[in-house]
Parts: sequence; structure tokens; C-alpha cells
Amino acid sequence: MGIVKFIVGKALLPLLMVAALVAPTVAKELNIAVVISTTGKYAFVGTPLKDGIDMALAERAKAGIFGNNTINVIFQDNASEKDEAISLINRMGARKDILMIIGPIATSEAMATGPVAVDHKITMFTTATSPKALDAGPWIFKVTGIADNYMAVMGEYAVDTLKVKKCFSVTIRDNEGYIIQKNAFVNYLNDHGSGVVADESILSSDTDFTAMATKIVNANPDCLFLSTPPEQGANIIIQAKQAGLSSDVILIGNTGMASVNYLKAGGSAVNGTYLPTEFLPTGVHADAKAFIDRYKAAHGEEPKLWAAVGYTMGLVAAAAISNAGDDPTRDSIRRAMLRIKDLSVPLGFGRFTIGADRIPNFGASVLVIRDGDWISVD
Amino acid sequence: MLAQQILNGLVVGGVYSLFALGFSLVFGIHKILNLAHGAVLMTGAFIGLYSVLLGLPLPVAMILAILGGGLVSVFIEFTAFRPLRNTGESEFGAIISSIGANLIIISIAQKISNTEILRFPFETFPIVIFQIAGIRVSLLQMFMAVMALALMAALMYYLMRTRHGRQVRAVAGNERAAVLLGVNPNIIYFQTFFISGALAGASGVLIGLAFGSIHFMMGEPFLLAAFAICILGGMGSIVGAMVAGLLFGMIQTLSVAYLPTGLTDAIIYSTIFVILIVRPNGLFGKAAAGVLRSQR
Repeated sequence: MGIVKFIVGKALLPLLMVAALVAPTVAKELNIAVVISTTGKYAFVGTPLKDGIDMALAERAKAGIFGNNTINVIFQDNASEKDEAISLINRMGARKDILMIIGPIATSEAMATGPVAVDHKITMFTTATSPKALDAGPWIFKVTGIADNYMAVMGEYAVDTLKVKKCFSVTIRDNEGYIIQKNAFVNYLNDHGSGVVADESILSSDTDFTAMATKIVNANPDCLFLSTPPEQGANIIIQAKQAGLSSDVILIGNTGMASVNYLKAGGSAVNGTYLPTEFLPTGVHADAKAFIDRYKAAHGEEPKLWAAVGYTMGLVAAAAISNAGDDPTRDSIRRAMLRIKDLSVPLGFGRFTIGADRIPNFGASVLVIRDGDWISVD
Repeated sequence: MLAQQILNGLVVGGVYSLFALGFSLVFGIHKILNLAHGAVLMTGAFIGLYSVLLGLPLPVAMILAILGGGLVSVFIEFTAFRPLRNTGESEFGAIISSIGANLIIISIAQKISNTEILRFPFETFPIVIFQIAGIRVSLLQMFMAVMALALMAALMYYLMRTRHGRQVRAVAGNERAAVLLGVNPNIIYFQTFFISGALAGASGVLIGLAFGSIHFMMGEPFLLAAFAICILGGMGSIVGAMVAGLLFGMIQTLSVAYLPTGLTDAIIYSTIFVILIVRPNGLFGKAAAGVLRSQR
């Protein structure tokens, strides 16, 4: 009996414990919900965003970052509707097998859905521009930088280097993100001895800018600042030039306009535009260039800014899940999000860090369009 | 600047008139609110754009857009309105079915365009600017004005001076009486929807050329404008749609030019509200909607 006890206690038990440790763990399906708009007015953001998220998660899964586990992405289209976003985030949050939510897109949507995500204690990783989206609680994260930071880079360049004195400002008024960027730029000008001769707004559905174009020309500004989607900005410039806008007027845009769509829509009319950028379409560092090459190979076209943002969101989500332990939970993923530091991404200067305030930092620079090419002024 | 902005307003208003005419025509004759009319405008713009991208000259692209717009409109009539009409429940059902048709067409366009905002190639229409008495007038603005006027004149001639036009007006006045007199109402529906769609298709190309933006959702703001124009002009009034379209374009342009742009829509719709208080049936409307009835 003593020998049996000895064999079981001193030999078999440790063997069984070691065997349990080395035995292959059961593969799990890790569910991520992506609630974005691939239809409606934000489809221009959501469609490339989805491509980028898909690409990043597929690449990270292929690289084995999730071990035996598999990632399952549940895409839901909220059709650019805030109510639909609330309903979908609620539905996704109620499903206990979903670990985190990527989305929604607009600040207004994020502010409406944030409390729902917090109620369900699930990480919500949004593209919202305004930091107010984070106020809902510690489960909300954003991928975009703070307008005050990156527009200040543009404002500083406009005042110190371009010496602008009186800008004509046009912004989208039915999307808070554009207004925030405009305010950051205009405030910088006002605080540094420059200013605006007019602060006008348009709707995101507007296409007729003939009256606005005449107004711009008659205001005789030395700078035209646009906080609009790329195609709309290009369109305003074309119509303003046809209305007689001098080629001496300095053109300045927002971050979203650093897009191939801006060049395609504006042609030679947008030459000379200065833009603050978090993503240069030709890439400013090796990681961005590698991403652009892979994206072009996969999709047959150059990535838009939102594809790069989506790719970054996919990389961040993948890193958070893989760093959340063998058995990731909603809470461990939230804590892992806060530990994201110097993650290699195509945005900004290439290193993505989430601060304690849940605001990301990855840097921005100013570029200018010359003969259809992007040139960094740095 | 005032003269320049008045010119801008007249040109834009001309395009609004052209688009709203088709909307008003269908309502005036058939009492149908075709909420897929904006999608037909977008279809015309897409047909024009892709025709040009395929290497066809602009005039051919314009003709194809007109024909395409007309055919899509007829297709909507066949699929969304005719079955309901046969059940006798066309009034509210037609609104819902036209919303459905609108969404289907928009979704198809979204797939085709991959949600991108497209534009005609830069060399599609020559950029030539004339200086006339200190006013900048582009060749494109002249083209738009001439096209809008020509199409409106052709429509008026068709309705008022041809046998088919008389039949259309007869159906507008009393469909049952027209049928007893030997008019085939289905042919009239075909004609009015085709003309309505053709005007929308032409408007789509003009808007695409002038404003440099072709998008699967581009018809929606124009549909809202057309609805407002029809109410302002008098529901179903052809002349009313023309005048109200010009007025709408002028109010919009002048409010953008001289007032804070954030107030533009408020000013437009407040002005319409005030006009409707004075003339509840619109500028050219009669107590019973459908001015074509009284023009027999």
C-alpha cells in the first residue's frame, strides 16, 4: 500500500500534471463584432474601413498570433443610421460570446452607442473624431488622433511658413468630426495673429457650390481652408477656380483629404494643396509602404486613408486579443487595449500607442501636392 | 456680385425646374408621388458617365442618359405602380413601393460604383469662360440653360400641341372618360413615366457635368427639392414647376451668397412656407391638384 501511495503521489501525479500542461488546448472561436456603415452617407468610410479590418485580422491570424484559436468577425451594417447603430451595439453587446466591438464610424454614432457598450461592459473601438466619444466610460477607445494635435501641426505651418493672414473657411456642418477639425485650425489661426474672413458651412450631400464659389472669390482671401471629404473639397476648389479664384490663394485641407480620391476628383486644380496627414498615400515609412504594396496586390488599387485606419484597427484589436491571455475576456481585452504601445501601423509615424486617457498617439505631418504627387514638407 | 449670383441662381434653378417637371408631370396626371424619381436622376448621371468613360462622345452619352432615364422610369411604373393600380390601392401603396424601388436602384448603383464619388473626366466639357458686362459666364452654364429651356419647350409643345399630349391631358382630367373615348391609359402611363424619367436623366447628366459629383445618393437632395418645388409651384402644374424651380434656385443661391450658409435650408423652406400661407395651392395651383385638368 505504501509503495502504491508512493507511485501515485510521487511519480504518477507529477506526470499527469505535466501531461495536462503540455496537452494541446481546445481551440476557441474568438468573436469580434464590427458595426460600421457600408451603406448610406458614411459608406465611403465604412467600405474601405471593412477592407482594412479584414486584411489586418486575416494577416495576423495567418501569422499565428491567435495560437490555436480562430478569429470570427461578425460584420453588421448600421446604414449610417444612429438608431441602427444603437440597436446593433446593443445586440452585439448582449451576446456574451462577442469579445469586443469595432465601430461605429461617426462621433454622433459613437456618443449615442458608447453608453450601451459601457452597460454591456464590452470594448468599443471607434473611428469617432471627437474625444467626447470617450466620456461614456472606460470601455470606449478611439483610433483617430485628437484634432487639436494634428490640426495644430497644420496651423503652425500655415502661420509660420505659409504666412497666411485671412483664410476663407468652408466646413461640413452635419458631421461633428469636420467641425472639430475646422475649429482646431481656425482657433489656431486666431490665437496666432492670423484669422478668417469667412466661416461658411455646407451639407455633406451638397454638390452645387456655384454661389459659394463666387462668394469665396469676392472675399479675396489669401487662403482657402476646407474641412470636407476629399471629393467635395476638390469640387469646391474646381468650382471656385472656374469662378475666378486666383492661383495665388493657398489651399489647405483636413486630414481626410490626403487621399487618392482628392487627386482623382481634383486633378490639376488641387495642385499646391497643403494637408495635415496621418496617412500618406505613398507611405512615409517602411511599414506604411509594405501595407500599401500588400493592399494594392489584394485589391488592385491604392488604399484610401480609411483603409489604412481600418487596417490599424484590425492590428490593434488583434494585438489586444492576443495580449489578453489564453482565455481572453471582455475585461482582459479592455486592459490589454490600455497596454498597446509602439504597435507597428501604417498611420502617422508608424508607432501606435494608447495613452492612459485612451487617446491614441501616432503623429502627423504636413504634405503638399505638387504635380499630382504627395510631398512631405518636413 | 449680385448680377453674378442671379445668373448662378437662374442656371441652377433651370436644372431644378427640369428635374421637378418630371416629378410634377407624374403627379399632375396620375396623382402618384414617385419617390424613386431621385434614383432615376442618379441613373441618368451614371449612364452618361459610363458612356463617356467607354469613349462615347458627350452628345451620345446625353441621349443614352435620357433614354436610360426614361426606360428606368417606365420599369418603375411597370413593377412598382401598375400592380398596385390594378388592385385599386395605389395612393399610399405607391409611395411605399416607390421608396422600395428607390432603395433597390440606389443599392445597385452603390455596388457598381463601390460607394465612390465619381465625376466626368476633366476634358468632357471644355472649360471656356466668357466675361459679359463683368459677369463670368461659362460655356457649360450656357449649355445647361439652353438644354433646360429646350427640353421644357419640347415638353410644353408635346403636351399642348400634339394629339398624344391631348390624350395625356384627357387622362389627367378624367381617366375613365378618356378610356370611354378610346384612350388607352396604359399607353399614357408609359408616355408620362418615360418623359418624366427622360427629364430626370438629362438633369442627372447636367448636374454631373456642372457640379462634378456623381454618387449613388446624389438624387436624394434633388428629390426633396423637387417635392418642395412642386408644392411651391402648385402640385401637378407644369408652368408652376418651371417657375418654382427657378425661384428655388434663386433663393438658394442668394441665401448662400448673402447670408450665413448654415441658414440656407431654413431660409428656403421658410420662404416657401410664407408663400404657401398667401397662396395655399402654390403659385400656379388650383384647389384640386393637377392643373393639367383645367388645360383641356
